[in-house]
Amino acid sequence: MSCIDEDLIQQYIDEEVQAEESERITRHLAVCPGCAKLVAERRQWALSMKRMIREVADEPVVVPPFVAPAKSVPLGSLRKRLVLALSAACLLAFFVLHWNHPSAEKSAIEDELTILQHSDWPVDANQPFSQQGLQINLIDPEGNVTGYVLE
Amino acid sequence: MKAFDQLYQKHYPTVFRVAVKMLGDSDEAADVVQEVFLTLFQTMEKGMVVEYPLSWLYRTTLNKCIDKQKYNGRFQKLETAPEGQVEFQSIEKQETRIRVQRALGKLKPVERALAVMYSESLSYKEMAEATGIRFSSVGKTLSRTLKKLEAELKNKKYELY
Ligand SMILES: [Zn+2]
Repeated sequence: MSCIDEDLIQQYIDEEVQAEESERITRHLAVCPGCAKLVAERRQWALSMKRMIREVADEPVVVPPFVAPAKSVPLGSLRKRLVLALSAACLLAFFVLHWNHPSAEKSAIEDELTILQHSDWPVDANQPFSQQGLQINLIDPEGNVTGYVLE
Repeated sequence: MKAFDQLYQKHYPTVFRVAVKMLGDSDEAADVVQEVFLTLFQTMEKGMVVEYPLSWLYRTTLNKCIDKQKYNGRFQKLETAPEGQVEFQSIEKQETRIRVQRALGKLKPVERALAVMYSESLSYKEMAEATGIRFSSVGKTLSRTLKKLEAELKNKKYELY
């Protein structure tokens, strides 16, 4: 057979040639000192290249603790729903204000309107906003409390 | 997740070394490796099966390093030896390391990935998968890359001392 080209030598020393091809090369190396010498040299050379690259980072590595991320999906959607619910509450309060006090007294009364929020309002992030049972209590200047349930 | 923890403990050092060789900087490497394991964690958390975890880790790390270098535009901080390690090494070894790192930095990111994978004794199949080079061309490209690396190592222009 003819002599082995360089690319094939690379594949041969990396043991990446088909079994049949590998046998053929081995047979050739047994009868061709030139190729045998070349293969031996290339094998040494490849090894030294490998070793040199490995030495770029060969110290013992300290494994840092892995910090698992907090589950973000339910939180994100809960936050979105809260923002939506509170925006709706503000809008509702605005309309209620207009409806109760449509005229000139408005600006004076606005200062004294109090919205009571339930801090323990149970939110189920899996339910649509309309089923959250949000209640808003408005206290007007006379001290009357009116509850509005969002539906 | 016990399965994940085992993979993390077992493969972190290997993956970290690959990233250091790719990026030439241990801080940047640590960031990339953290990202890679976070991706693995999220994948496993969703119940997806990673069939060959080490191959997956190599591929993902190399791709992230290649992306990072394309983004950075160049191989950075070549001269910086990892801090705190200098005193444990002979000056000679330190010099070799800097020279090799510099030469690796002269290669294209894909070629560098190939050289790094070769030093880790990965198969041509794994190299092809990670770099996108055709399987049948890996041997030729690898041979060319190693010669290029050797030429860079011999380049007197970059001699340090
Ligand atoms: Zn021959």
